[in-house]
Amino acid sequence: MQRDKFWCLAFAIVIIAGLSMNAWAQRNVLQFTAADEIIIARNEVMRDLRRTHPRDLRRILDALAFANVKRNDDPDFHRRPARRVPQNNNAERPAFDPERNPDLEIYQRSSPEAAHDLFQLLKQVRPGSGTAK
Amino acid sequence: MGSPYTFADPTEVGADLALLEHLNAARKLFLDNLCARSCTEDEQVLSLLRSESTFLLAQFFYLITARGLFAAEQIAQLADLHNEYIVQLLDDPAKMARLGLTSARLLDAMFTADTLPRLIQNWELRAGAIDQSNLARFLVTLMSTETCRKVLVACESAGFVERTRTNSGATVICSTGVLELIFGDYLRGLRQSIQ
Repeated sequence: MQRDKFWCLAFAIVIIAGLSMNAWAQRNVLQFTAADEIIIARNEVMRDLRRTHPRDLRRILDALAFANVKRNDDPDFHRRPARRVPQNNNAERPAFDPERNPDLEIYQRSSPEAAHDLFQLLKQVRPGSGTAK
Repeated sequence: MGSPYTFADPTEVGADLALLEHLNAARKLFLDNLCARSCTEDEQVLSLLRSESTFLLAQFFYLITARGLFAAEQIAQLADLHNEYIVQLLDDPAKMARLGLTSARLLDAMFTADTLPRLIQNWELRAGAIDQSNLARFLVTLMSTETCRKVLVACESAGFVERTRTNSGATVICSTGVLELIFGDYLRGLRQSIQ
């Protein structure tokens, strides 16, 4: 009986120590460079993510670094961070404030070249004389 | 295009500035009209209505109406042209990178034997009615699928589109006509102010 208690206690200590180490590792192993810190400081969403989801923030920063070379418009990229950020129901705040997230604003932009292409496509369709509805 | 730009001629520069002023004023008026005609004053909805994506969506609906593309064969032709355009884009990696698109995303935006009949069927049942995912296909180079959905949800709250859930689980979009009129006002106002 005494022996069982000892093993239970030892097991609990190992688990707690492991969890503590993991939390410590999440905070300390994840390195943010000086350049990262500048970006984080000027983006509200990133500042929140640093506290709550540092690993996700690391991935976003990596994706942004990639995007500086070549923009990546994978729709999943738009979805994932949006789902993980806690929703703020404060009606006075916009869902996403580009002013407070200047480095993420690029994902809200669109291309005039693409708009021009779509216009040209629609011009090629034989015009009709019908009316809607 | 004319000769290379210079600031040497004050009259020309003055005319350029006047045009810039008209462009900015017209765009501002477009946004003001969107918000004024919105059925809701919810700031989150208004914020999305002010986005570039809403402007592009309004432009798409306006083009459909202005070109009179209400027949099923016309939307089928547009889908064919769209597919050809996607194939051209897939052959042009530089342009894909410029537009921020991946080949997987482009392939997903093509109309297939599964999606094309639904596009035509919806258009036949009600001219201008389009499945939300098919609308996102047409707008693939302009915005992500998720942005398209968010803008449409905002437009529904504003009373600019109807979003109907079908038995198959799809969401069918139909413009109420307001977006097209606001976009038309923007264009005509701009044109008349310049003339």
